Amino acid sequence: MRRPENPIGVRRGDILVLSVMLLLTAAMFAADRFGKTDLCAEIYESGTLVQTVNFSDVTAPYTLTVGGCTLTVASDGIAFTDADCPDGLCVRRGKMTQSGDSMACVPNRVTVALRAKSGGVDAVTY
Amino acid sequence: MKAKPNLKIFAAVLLAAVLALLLFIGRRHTDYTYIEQNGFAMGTVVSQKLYGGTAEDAAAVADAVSDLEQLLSRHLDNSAVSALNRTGSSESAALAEIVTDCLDICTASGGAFDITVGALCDLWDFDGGGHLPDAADIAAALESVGYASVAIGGDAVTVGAGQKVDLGAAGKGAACDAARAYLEESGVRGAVVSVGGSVLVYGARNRAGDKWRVAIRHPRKNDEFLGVVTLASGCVSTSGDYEKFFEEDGVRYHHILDPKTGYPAESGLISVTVVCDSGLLSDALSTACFVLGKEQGAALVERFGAGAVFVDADLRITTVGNVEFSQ
Repeated sequence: MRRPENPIGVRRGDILVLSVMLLLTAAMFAADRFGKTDLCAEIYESGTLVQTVNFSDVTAPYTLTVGGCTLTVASDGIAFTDADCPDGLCVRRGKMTQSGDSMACVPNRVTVALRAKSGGVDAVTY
Repeated sequence: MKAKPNLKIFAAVLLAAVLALLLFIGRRHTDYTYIEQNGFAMGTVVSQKLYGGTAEDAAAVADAVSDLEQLLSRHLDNSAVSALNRTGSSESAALAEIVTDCLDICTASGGAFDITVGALCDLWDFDGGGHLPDAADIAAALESVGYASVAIGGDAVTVGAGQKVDLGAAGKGAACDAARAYLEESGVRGAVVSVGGSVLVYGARNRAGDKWRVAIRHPRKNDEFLGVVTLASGCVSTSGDYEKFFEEDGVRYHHILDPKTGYPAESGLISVTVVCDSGLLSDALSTACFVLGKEQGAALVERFGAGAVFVDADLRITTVGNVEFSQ
């Protein structure tokens, strides 16, 4: 028995490959644009990286002590919440949530930088 | 044998999909490799990201900033500025060059930017947390303020009796210039150097030649950016009333002093960002514009061929001159 003529000139396998390619491309673009955050905080003491916090792993707020500073980590950002420095500028800075941003307690030589694998800015002026 | 038209369409779509996929994957890998370093100098954080650079390059950039601190800091006893303030004169050619540049801005701004505010800065002590001085003490300190008494003769700088030079409003920008001077002699392809919020972007970070993106911190919302300045290269500096301030009896006193009144400037602006090639200029102009206010500040920015983003107390944003800003 003769098979019916292919009306669009391509085989079913070709359509499958094309569909997978298109879906894969669309999925990668979507994941890049709307996907789960890869935001993390890098915490430095005197210029040395002492801890990295990946915010997607944070399920409940907690605190860290680095130098003379207390940092509070939440799922969406990080803040200096206590420090034994004289000016208190670091605590007044509040919570930081944006990739590319950074903050510091200069007297205690503690800095925190927010990073993401993609997006974000190169630097912040203030 | 000729391909069927529908097969051609199919092949074209398939090719487009493959190209899109390759473009997407390729775009994620166009950045040059980089090294990063955080340190402290000039009483602030110095962070750098060098694309195509080495650890030696990062150390050299940090040294360039530290060397400038040794020259300009009023808080280091052995700096050239400390010697100038102690003795009334300096023979440092490097200091003379920077003071000359600063005096140009002092003059152009009509004294809104003035490098002789050292006595006023001591009085307000913002570095130590800040406090409201007596009016009589402010009046006395104002007697020593006046850039016109600063003279340059060859490598020599002299100041008037009792004057104290403070280059804090230009030093971080000048540090960006010092960093760039090294980078231009190095093999570093691209770099971002931030000295306490004064930012240098240099060269290229990737093969695509994408412009750099520098966010401006929101003056009233800690966790937000006001917007983003996009530039191919240059320096970006901001002066704002939110970085160093204290409150006393319900009044907020910020650290940007008006050299004419001796009190924190009240021009209606709460943040000024200036973009231009020179770090020193961007830093000093941001202070001058903050003191001058929107109209006179805009004229000053235009005069120097710079660009600026002004934010007033109602959070209205005005862009001036050569700046690419988006929210």
